[in-house]
Amino acid sequence: MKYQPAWRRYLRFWGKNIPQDVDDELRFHIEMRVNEYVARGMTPDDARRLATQRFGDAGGARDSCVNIQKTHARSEGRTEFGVMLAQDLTFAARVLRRQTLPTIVAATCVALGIGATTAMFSIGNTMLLRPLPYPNGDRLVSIGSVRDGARNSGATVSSFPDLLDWRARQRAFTRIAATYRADFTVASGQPIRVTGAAVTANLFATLGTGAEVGRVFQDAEDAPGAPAVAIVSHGFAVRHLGGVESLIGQRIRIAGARRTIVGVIPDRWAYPVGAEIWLPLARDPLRSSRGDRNLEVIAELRAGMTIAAANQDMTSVGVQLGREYPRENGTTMPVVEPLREHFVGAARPGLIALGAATLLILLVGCANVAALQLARATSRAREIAVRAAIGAGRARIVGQLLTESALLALVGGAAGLGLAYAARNVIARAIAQNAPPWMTFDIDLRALGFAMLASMLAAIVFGLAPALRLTRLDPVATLHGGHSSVDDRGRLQGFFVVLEIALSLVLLVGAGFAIQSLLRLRSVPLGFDPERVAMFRVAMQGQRYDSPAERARVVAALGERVAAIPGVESAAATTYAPVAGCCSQFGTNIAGQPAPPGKGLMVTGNMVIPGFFRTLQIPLISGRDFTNADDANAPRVVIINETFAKRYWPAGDVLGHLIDTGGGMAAIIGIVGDIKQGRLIDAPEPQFYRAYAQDPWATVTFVVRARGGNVLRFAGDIRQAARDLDPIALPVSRLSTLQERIDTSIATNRVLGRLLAAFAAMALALAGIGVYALMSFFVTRRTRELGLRMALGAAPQRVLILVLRQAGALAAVGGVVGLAAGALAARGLSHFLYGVSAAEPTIYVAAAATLVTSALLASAGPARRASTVDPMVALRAE
Amino acid sequence: MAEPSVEVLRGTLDLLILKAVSWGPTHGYGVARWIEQATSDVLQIEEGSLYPALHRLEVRGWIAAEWGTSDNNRRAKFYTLTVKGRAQLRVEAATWTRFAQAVFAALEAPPQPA
Repeated sequence: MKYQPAWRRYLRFWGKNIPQDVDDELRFHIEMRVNEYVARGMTPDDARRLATQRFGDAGGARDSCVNIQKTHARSEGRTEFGVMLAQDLTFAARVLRRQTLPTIVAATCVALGIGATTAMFSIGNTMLLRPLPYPNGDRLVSIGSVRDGARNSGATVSSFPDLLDWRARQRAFTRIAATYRADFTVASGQPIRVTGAAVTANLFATLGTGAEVGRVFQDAEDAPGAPAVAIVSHGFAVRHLGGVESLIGQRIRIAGARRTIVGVIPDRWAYPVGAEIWLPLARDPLRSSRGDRNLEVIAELRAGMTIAAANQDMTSVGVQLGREYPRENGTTMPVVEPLREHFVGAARPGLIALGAATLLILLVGCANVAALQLARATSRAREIAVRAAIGAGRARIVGQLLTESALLALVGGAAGLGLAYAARNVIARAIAQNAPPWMTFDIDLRALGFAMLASMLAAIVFGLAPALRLTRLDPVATLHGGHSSVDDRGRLQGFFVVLEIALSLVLLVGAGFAIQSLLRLRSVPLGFDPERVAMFRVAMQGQRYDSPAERARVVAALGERVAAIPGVESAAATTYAPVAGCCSQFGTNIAGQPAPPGKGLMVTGNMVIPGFFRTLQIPLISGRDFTNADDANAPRVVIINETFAKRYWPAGDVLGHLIDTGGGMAAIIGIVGDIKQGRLIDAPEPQFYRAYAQDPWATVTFVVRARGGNVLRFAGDIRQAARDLDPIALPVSRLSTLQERIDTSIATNRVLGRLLAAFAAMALALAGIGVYALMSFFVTRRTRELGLRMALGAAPQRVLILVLRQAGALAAVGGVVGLAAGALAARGLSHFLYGVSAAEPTIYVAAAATLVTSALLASAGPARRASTVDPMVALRAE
Repeated sequence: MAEPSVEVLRGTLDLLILKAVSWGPTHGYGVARWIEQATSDVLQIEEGSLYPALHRLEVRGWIAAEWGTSDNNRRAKFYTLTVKGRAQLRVEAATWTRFAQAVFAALEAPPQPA
């Protein structure tokens, strides 16, 4: 038997008729036998009778033959599909390999799209879908105290008396726990500052976590007067306490007291995130103020309880408390949110923006590949026509073409996965700067599945239109004409390129907005000069510092010693440094301006030592700075900022007025300029400064200005100065420059801007490739016409302009659509970008100009080629 | 003519078919005729079981089938021995020969003293 060529299998399209074949075969046998007998001299009738008799049970034989063949055909059918697929794949691979450059370009387009979307998916997957690492993760909620119904996610703090009332009155939770984030001084050898939390004893039961070694806190251990105990994280134990073994029961000096280590917690269960030491939150309910909100509250939902039902329950509790304590609770309401919001909340806008951006990239990539495939279609029209002519059905050819697209998508998708793996952490940093350690943005099975699915969808998106278009051709005309009619005018292709241009423009506009916002953030007036300023934190814990006078003395002395370091211009201390050092707010009464009931004035305030304003170069607008004479025995004094002064003393007669910001009435002795105390994007708010010596807090931040050069070179001198004052319990922590702090506070915006710019650049490059391919296609198709024009006397410039005009038209259509879509995107972006509104004409103009320029640049090559067409060659072709 | 037992025939039929098609593409009738002629009409195979046997061998992949035209210009199904079938033929032929020699040897053996 001859080798059966592969295309013969396509004839199986009609299938075979088994019973018919068997009958034919048996009838042939009888006929041959009859012929044989007749040849031997029998009459035809006798011959037929004898032949039939000789054959025996013809019916039985027929049935068993049919049976055998049918059983076989069924199992064959199952492998048939596999064989067909394998053939298609081999063929597709051959086609793709033959056209190296277009394949690489197309696969790159897919890779960029799949890479970007997969990276985004893995981030979204981690943040939104993957369960929290705590055993009770799916039932954990946070309860915040929200003022005036202004819902904002993340940590909104509550007071200890509120916590006790909530516990007593709610019905939605099995447990309610609270944490108070704090840094502790650990004196085991060199004193160090460690991030930790004071927590209610039931915190670990609420999370559902146990100890790795030892135990978690027991019920009464957070009662006032209970024995001093502590829990540490595994990492901390290993790094600082010499390992986990034999740690339990050891007594270590933490936060000024000797405490017994009772347990070690695995790092992944650390809560609050980043904590390494836990102490019991031993608060005396009788001495805690209801208005003093500094606890983060989490709770475990009762089984079957929904967030909505829990909110309802807590709202009724909140209403009761508001009635009972109108002064403190009149305007706040408890709000229940999934604990996940805690980790995700702030990142959500970035997640959405970048998710949308990556989807756009994928779409641009798909449109580009579709356009490229269409351009290639011309050269393939003949091949397809041949295949159709020898009997391949349309479905079969579309299948073959889609297989090619799928293979392309798979290759691109695999490369994209590599990109996603490399890019995921960069993107994640833009969205979630302070991601907890368990938020590892892995490419897990789900992300892998997503990449696969996205690739396949992409293959269908960019493969289907060209495939359908190609198979709609008339094979006879194509084979005859040689020069086919696959959409000679490239309309469909033009559509894809216009789509690309429009989508790229959306990304360009988005990137423009992000960059504009970043520029505005950078030029925000800070109200102080961060140049050559370092800052560090000092916390005073332990018996020695129980005395306020000692705290005041040590801070003043450290300030003097640091200021005396050669090369240091000045140094001072404050409770919270500017920018992201937010904030302590104080209930404030202004003498002569009583606040309406339930609407108490809360003002951000700092305790500073003399020289603070000079060191940060905050202008003193009127009055005087603090001096060393403003100590505990002197009359209480306060300095306020410009906004405070203008808002409450519009007439300008500020100095000498009395305000009480806690601790009694104090006289206003000066007005200073506004500074960015919290986020750069916040508008100036009233703010006050009190003399540190009159209210010496235990934790202060020093600011140090150098005369020149790198201010961090004083790090050693600063630590030495602190050690000289107290060798045991005065650790210097968080030493950095003020500029670093400012940069960190806008890092999210910076990375977001960069990423959007990178995405826009990618889209622009893709669109450029699309325009180039389309214009090349046009020029090739119109070589004859162009040659004719030139033969008739058209100047090369005219031809050049003809091509460029066509590219310009494409860019214009895409531009109009893109600008409209871009305006919509801008409206979404402006909600969370600082300082920009959707109406920023310069951004639109700049984006559109960039796009049109690149479209014209991309078509310059083809246009030049068109203008150098040799009329004689062009006319002789074909 | 001896009446061969059906059992023997069925086991042998596959072997005879493989041998018949080993000479070149053959249709079912050709197979039957070849067996008759090669055995000088000693073995007359039951035609009713010839065709199921052919189809079984085809499905097993020992012989391949293709529709073609016969000498008298009729559409007929031709069978050819596949590579797999040739190997099978070799094995079965050897087995059969050893079996037959053993039976002969037994039949020719001198009488044993009791």
